[in-house]
Amino acid sequence: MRKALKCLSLLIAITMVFSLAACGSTNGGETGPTDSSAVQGTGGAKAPVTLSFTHMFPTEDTEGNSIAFHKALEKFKSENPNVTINEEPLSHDNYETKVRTLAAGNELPDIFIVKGSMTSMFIQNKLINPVDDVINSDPEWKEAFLQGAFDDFVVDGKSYGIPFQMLNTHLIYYNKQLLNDAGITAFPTTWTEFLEAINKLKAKGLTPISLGNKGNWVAESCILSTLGDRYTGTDWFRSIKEKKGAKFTDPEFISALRALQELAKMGAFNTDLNSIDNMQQKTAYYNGKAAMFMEGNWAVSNVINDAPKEIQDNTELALLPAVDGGKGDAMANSAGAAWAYNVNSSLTGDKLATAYKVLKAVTDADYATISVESNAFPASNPKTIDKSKLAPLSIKYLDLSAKIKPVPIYDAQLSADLIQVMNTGLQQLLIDSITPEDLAKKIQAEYEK
Amino acid sequence: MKHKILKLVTQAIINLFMILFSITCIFPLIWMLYSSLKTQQEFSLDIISLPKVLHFDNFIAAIKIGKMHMFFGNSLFNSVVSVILIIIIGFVVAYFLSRYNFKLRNFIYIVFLFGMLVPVHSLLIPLFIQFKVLWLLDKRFTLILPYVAFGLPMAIFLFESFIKSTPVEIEEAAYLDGGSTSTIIFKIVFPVCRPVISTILILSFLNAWNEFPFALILLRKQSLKTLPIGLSNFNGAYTVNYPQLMAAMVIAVLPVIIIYLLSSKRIIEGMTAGSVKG
Repeated sequence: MRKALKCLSLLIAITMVFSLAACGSTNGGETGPTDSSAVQGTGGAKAPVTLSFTHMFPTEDTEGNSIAFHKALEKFKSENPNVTINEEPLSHDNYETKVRTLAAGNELPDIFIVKGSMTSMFIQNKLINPVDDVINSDPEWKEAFLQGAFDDFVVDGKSYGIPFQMLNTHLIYYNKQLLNDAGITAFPTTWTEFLEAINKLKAKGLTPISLGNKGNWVAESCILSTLGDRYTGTDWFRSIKEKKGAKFTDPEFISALRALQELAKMGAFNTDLNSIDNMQQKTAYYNGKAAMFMEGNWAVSNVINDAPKEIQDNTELALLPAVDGGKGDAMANSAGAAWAYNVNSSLTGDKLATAYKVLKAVTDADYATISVESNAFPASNPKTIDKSKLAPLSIKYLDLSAKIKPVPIYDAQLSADLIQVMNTGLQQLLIDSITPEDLAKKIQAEYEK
Repeated sequence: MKHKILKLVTQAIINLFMILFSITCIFPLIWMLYSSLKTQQEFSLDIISLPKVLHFDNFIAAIKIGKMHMFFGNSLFNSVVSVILIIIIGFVVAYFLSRYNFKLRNFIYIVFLFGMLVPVHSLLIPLFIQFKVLWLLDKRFTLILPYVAFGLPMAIFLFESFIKSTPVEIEEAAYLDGGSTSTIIFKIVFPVCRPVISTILILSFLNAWNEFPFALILLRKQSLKTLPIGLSNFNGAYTVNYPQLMAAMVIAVLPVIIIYLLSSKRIIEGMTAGSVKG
């Protein structure tokens, strides 16, 4: 019995060793052919190429960006049957965790998406190369990109990502009918008028601005990034970013915080603002109980898909009015690409060329057309827009966005730790449990760390 | 007579209170069930209301696009295999730790217990690199290794204390009757441990079923991923398609609820039998 047991354990040990060895060899085999195909590929144009592509557009995701991405990629695949793309779709929130781990293990896929704040870490570890040469060699591709689309990914004068979206994180969606009923005929153009309008709406028993800040980024990304710029101007932010002397305790920034808190104190927002999220903030608006909500351009497609017809027809878009004594432009709006594609720096030859071809297919002017038609917001100008295919709200958005002057989005450009302090601080600020001065000091302390 | 009425009234009040309490527990499930039959538009207009028309498209989408059946199969495979391994390995290790005295016995025991103190997130990157070097990424059995490793400390702890508390005389009697060591372990001691086995079974099954970070990091092939990852795919960057997500969750949760309803008595017995409560 004992002998049998010993034999058995030996057998198990041996099989385990062999199965491990077997795994090793099959994997080695997999990388072999792809390497050699890259070498062969330089000779023949149609040699098979396999690329791995980790992105954040699962097919379950019904946002415009995701729909447009899949349409464009399917088109590329049918036009290039020799290219096999192994996709790994992940949801937006998981994507960041995964790509950071993959970067730490030097296991990045051939094509991936980087966030503006990640680029410097990736560059230090030599994981990505600048994309300027490729973009510059294709003028048609280059010219289509919107002004400022590359800003989030520029390090030392070189761009390290090909953007695919242009976020305008601040837009005021307002119900024209409700404002009219309250005696406001045109959207306010000064801060005082804006406050008066809020009081009028309150007197009507409406929630003036519906806010769902549970995820704690809405108040910062969709309101403060623009409101802050109205007071401080963009030069202040540049100075903050390059650490050239500006402080969060500067009076301009404190005024912005104070203005936000005043809005909350006068009852401009709903009282449960910290316990509902940005999906729920739209519920009150869809039911005609709130006159406005502030969110980025992604909400355009939400309103088109989810709002009842009459609410949708009455919806207009606006920006925050200019503030008294502010240094910012009234058409300035927090905007940026936030995420962009890049390819693995270890790619060479045919694989590299094909990878850029894939990226062109999901970022160029043709992609932009598909994207706009899916109610999304591409980083390039579409060649032609068939306006009859668009919802009225999309057309209103396109008209407004053409006039907008992009300024930085706080959470796309500042470090994650700083944003964390700012975001949680804003939640407190909105329920009046911290003063604007104290919050500014807290943010400054984190900034100086 | 008066006394009786008073008793009835208090009972009714207590019952009413308990019923209300139970409703707060079960309501989220019911809400999920009927919300999965609403359209996105209905849902964003009113979160609580009942669906006007039963809308089964969400379920079709959850299976066709979301491939919930595939994720479900993977989760089931991972959970079942790791639970079996945890119970067998944990039991054998714990038996020797509690019945035999040898050099380094305490050391080995403590090393196993230390496993309970390690936070999973601190291991993500080291484990990822280790798996990469050993060519263990992206295999059918990839997730089973960490699940078993993280399940063992608790299993060994529970088994060890339980076996220690059972009388050694039973084993001695079996030995006198000529039973070999393996017969004693598997035919005598193992059945005695039944209550603690069900505790471990439930806890480690739940852990493996719900585990998220390793499933996200260690797998790349879509066909190997598990339910928690599949469910997260319904979250967009700024918006969530709630009704479809609810439909997917119903698919993920329903089998578990059915199993629970069928064997709830036994599960509760198991939960209360161990020295550590789940």
